[in-house]
Amino acid sequence: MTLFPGEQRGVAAGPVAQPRRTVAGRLFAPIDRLGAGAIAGWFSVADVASLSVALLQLAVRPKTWRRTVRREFARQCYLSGVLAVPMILIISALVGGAVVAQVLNLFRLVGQDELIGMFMSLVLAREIAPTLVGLVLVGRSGTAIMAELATLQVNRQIKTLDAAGVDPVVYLILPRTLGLVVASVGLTLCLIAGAFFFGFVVGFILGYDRGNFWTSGTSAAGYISASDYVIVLIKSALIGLLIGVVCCRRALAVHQVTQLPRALATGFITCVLMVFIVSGLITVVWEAIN
Amino acid sequence: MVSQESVGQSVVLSLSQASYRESLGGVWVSVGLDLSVRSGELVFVQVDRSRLMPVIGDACSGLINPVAGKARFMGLDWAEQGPEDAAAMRSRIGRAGPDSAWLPFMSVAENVMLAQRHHTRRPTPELVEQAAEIAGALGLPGLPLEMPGIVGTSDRHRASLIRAFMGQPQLVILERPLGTDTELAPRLFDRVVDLQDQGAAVLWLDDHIPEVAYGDLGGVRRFRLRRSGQLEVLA
Repeated sequence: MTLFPGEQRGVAAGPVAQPRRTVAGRLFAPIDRLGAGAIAGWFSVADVASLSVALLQLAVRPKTWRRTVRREFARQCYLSGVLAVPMILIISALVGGAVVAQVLNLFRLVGQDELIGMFMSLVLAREIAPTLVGLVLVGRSGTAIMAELATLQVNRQIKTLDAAGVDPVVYLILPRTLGLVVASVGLTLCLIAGAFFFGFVVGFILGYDRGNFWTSGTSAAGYISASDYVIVLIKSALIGLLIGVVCCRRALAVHQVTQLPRALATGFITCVLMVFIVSGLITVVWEAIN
Repeated sequence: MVSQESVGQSVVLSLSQASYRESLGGVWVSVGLDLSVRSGELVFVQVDRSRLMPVIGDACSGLINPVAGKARFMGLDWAEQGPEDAAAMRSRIGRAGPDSAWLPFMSVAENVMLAQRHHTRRPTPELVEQAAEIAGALGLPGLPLEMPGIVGTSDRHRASLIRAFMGQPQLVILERPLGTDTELAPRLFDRVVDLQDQGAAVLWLDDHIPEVAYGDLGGVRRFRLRRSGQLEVLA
């Protein structure tokens, strides 16, 4: 490349001389790498946390909710929430039916088949539903958001927004993340209701008769305390929030098309891990508190 | 023609001894800008290296800060503004060029009206009316309602000009605004004169200064940004 007057090679463009590695340097290299990884991981966690807090602060300000942002939010709720309902209903049928079919037989062996309601309530509603919905959101919406935002970033469309005075965080990240929060909560409730219904149907087919669906459902729901309902909502909302933040953050770090596949893969894995970690962590903390 | 009287006294954009250092494809470039643009003025800048045009646009829009000197828009220093104030200031700047980017998930018409819909409470029919009026003035039969990917390059370029002219911009930055569309020139100049009459300042960045800039247009100044990154006044 020809250099014109006023130009000079950037640091990144020129070759960087590697320092000669000593024996001690080679010995401590794994520890170096471990430390560097830990520091990078810590900074990532801090970054995600600070972005989440910033988004929540923005979300509570009425000034943020301009008509363009409201429209993007509605669009994201539709794409991630409404369009995912059929898939969630299919999953709820499979999960609800399978859980009842498997566990009912087990409980019958010990003559405790009335515990099926408690099992459904505590395990399925509190633990399985938010995690499953989180995984669906990661695969269905998280990757789509990552690909969309990374493409906007690579094609300088985000810069164009910025140049027009439209804050990309307010216009792109906030509605997408909050859309995922709403979708996560809504789909979790949908999955729980669907799993209870299909579980009841399978139980009925297998000869487990505890009255009609309503009485059976209310008796099962009776095993869930008010705090359990709260924990389900908190867990699903937090999972939605973190999926949105991680995906948006990962996407905006992409500056070249060649970085996109790796960003999608690592973003997907990070989100899946995070769904399990958040779900488990909240349960453990909640149990410890109680 | 714009009379000298219509050129206001208020300085819209002021880059005083501002030097910028930006990385373009791994190469650091330095640009020195010393320029002020008053309301109603049309300033042509011949940029010898077209790669520098976006840098100048970014500098004027406060997207990059100078390493030395000051960059002010409407009397306010870009470097001293918070993100929200800077965004509000940028809402008064229209920017267009053949390489303008478009959000792919909305139609060209929606893209054109996005900034106005975001920053103002003007009703959508009013925005559509203004956009259609500018589209007509620039020789488009109407506002393109298709997605950006399927609109032709020429129409998309004209749409980027409509986007820059929407609302009541204080400053319009045009990067190579004629592109390869030679039929656009008379219509665009008419529109630019209208903008000047309304008190907007226009900064026209191009590979060469068009002939009309040496004609009887009022309130015109000409500059050249050399390959060395230094700005000089042209006669």
